[in-house]
Amino acid sequence: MRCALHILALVAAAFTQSTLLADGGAVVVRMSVGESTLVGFVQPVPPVAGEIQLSFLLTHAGSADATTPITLTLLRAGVAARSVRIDGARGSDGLARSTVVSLDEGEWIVDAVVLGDPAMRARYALDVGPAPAHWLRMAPWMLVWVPIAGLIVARERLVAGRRGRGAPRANLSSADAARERS
Amino acid sequence: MWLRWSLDPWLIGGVAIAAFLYARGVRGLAGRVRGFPRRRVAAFAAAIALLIVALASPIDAIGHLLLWVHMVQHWLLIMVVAPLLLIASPGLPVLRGLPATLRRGVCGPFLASPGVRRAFTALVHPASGWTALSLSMWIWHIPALYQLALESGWVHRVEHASFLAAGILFWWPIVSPWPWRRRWPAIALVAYVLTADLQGTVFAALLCFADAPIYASYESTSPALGLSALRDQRIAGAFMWMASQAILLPVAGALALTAVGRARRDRAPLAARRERPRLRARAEQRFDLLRVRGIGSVLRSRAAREWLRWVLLVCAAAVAVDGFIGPSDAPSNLAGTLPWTHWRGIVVVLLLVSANVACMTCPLIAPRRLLRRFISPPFAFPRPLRNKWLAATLVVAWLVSYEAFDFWASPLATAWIIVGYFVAAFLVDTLFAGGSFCKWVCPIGQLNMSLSLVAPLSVAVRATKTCDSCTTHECIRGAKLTVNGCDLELFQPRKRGNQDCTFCLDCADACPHSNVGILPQQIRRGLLDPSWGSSIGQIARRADIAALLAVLTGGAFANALAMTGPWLALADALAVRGWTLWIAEASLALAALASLAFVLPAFAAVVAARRSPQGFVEALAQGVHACVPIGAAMWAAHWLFHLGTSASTALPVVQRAAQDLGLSLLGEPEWSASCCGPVPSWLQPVQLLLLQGGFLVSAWIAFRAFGARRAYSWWAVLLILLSLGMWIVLQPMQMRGTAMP
Repeated sequence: MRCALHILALVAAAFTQSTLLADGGAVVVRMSVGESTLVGFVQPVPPVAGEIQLSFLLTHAGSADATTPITLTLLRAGVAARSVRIDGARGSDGLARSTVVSLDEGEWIVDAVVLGDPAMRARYALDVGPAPAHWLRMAPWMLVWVPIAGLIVARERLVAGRRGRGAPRANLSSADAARERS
Repeated sequence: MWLRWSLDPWLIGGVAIAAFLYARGVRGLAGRVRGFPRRRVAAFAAAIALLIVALASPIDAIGHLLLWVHMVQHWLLIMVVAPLLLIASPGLPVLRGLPATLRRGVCGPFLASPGVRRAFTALVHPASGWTALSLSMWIWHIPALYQLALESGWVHRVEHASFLAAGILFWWPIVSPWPWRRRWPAIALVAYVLTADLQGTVFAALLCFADAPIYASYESTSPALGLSALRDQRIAGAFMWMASQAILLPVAGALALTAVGRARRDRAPLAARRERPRLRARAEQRFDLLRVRGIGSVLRSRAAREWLRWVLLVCAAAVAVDGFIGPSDAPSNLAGTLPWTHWRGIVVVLLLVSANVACMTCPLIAPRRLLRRFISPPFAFPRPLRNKWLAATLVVAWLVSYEAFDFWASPLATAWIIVGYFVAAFLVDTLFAGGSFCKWVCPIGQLNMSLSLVAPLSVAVRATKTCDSCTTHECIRGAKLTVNGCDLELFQPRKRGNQDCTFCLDCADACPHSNVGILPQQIRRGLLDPSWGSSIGQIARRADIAALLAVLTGGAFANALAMTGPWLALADALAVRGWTLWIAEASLALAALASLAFVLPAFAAVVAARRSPQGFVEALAQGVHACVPIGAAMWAAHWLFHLGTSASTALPVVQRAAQDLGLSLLGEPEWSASCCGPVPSWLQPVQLLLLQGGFLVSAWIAFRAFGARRAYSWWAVLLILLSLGMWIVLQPMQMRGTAMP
């Protein structure tokens, strides 16, 4: 029981801990200035309206720099610019730094400025598609019962088959069985 | 960098369940099979640890940036974790670790089926293992698919799962996990290993000797980390080549030695025979919560249980007082948050993982006990009311008025409800003997007791033989003046399921043989068993219980439906057309309840009864019992939503109440916690899984009750309820008890 409680606590801790960022995505920009390189990622692929993760890997001569702040400015025609500053690595690789922004459908311009030495600036377009319906995103979770129901049906057929070969009272439902007993 | 691990809850949860089942199974097998070697347990621990290293450590994240790190991850899964898992021989321990119902009822028929055995034998044939390994390696490294895995978390997980599965299939013929016996001669396995190594070598060579990078993504990331993409690729190829050979060549060598008879492995089949399990050597020990060290002794202690009830009584009094004199704004008041958001959510979680804890700790029992020391109730509860019709009516009234008058939004109304509840309980228990209020009146108790029909634990006798020889029956009559028998008239040896059981544990106190425990419950026994049960009689003849369960099941959906956006818009639309808002809300709630609790079940019962000699009431009673699991799942999904989204609302109101009392220990109220918290990403999947679990159990019970030919109407009802439940879960919800607009 104690072991079960420990495991339960561990799982609960895992559920309450937010998943670390910068795990994957597609490369959308890469630029180099001298020995410094900035690589930008986006997730999901392709980006769709809603929460979008923008990650950046900044390196100097092959060594990751996880401390120099990066300022992002997100621009869209007719919409006020939004600025986000990312300090320190938040990715589970300890190298890239990430932020999650909520973007509407349309073409956005991402302006990433590295406030270090050398100063770097990467400007690229992000074409954000329409968000899929919420139920569609949840669809995998909604269909879990189908294979399990298949297993249950298979199990019942197996049991019925075995009983059919061995015992004649096989397919009685509980109500029929009770009636027969009484 | 190495401290940044990604604790994916689904991975950690899956691994934790597997480890728990394995540990439980190994413990269960101890002494029952001759020697379950510790090296197997060590191998399992190592496999689990390395699996987590491969999938949750920075290796997983850096694999997106460097190809060679990604190859290390794949190598770990296929060449290290898979064989270690097989050396741990987890099949029998995990099976043994499953609850007996699942093991015998679900796994048993599959394991005994000749067809399934033949399919499994074909699956673990060396040809299958070799093919699986080769296909998974070559297909997943096609550049388009590889890129897809880098970009999509889901595809990446599928990739890893297929590598692990392919690794297990490949290593199966070589390791032959106990109690499986090696069926292929060792010399054939030498060829098997070497040819697999050869195809891996070809792939590694492709990586090593390619003129250009194969995977486009690394052309951007590898140079940033000081490696050209081509160099990264060559390191990846070289690693795969060397690391795979470092494992496969010694294995081939060992198999060759075995083949020529110079290794001690020759005796392995004999050893395997010796280790064959003798599973019937010892009677199975049943889990009993009352015998668990720590929590068991607390539960067994009558004083501790009474103390818990008094603590909750004080809490209820505090909530009521705050409701009367505190702020009228619900999110700022104890009465507007704690009973509706926290208490209900915690109760349902405890009920799903253990039992009816809410009734066990009910604050109404403590004053009743005190009262009975001075006053003996003069009457027995009136015979015409000794059924569930009154309770069912009260539940309907409760559900409709809850929506009509928005009790959750009014601390004052909540306070009056608490006071009214205590007064009603006091009056009933002063006038009538036994636990009359709990058994015949209390709507909350009816809900808890009905939901506990699907709880995993039940108060039951440990050994029926002991009861057979008992002539004093203290469990129902009481032992001494100070120890009651069951106030709800449940005779333990004939008790079936948790219906009407408040888990007060008076029966456990009274039994002189210590023969009452909290044991695992067979859910189908409470919902399906047609035999006579103490104080319940036969399920099929209790129309009143059927009505109560129908109301509670339909009420689960109606109650959750009433907080969805479309429902609220409908009520507002009716109000615009001249309806008074509370009349509109009450009418809608009543209509939903009538459709879900009466019309649908009645339709299904008519159809089911038409095709059999079974009467309408019998078909209705059995069908409604079958619907209890999905109803319980809906209650759980609904209340988990409140708990999951609004748990933090308790902090500021408790701080505010403490401050009002002049206690500054808890600091200034953090009002930001009562508003606008993000909905946890796990919440909706968990809600959907709960609903589907409830649906499957309900469908299975309907099948067992009616047989395949007559269960269709009930399956249709269950599908309607499942669809409705899923739709509700996906709707925008009214954030009750929070300061969210």
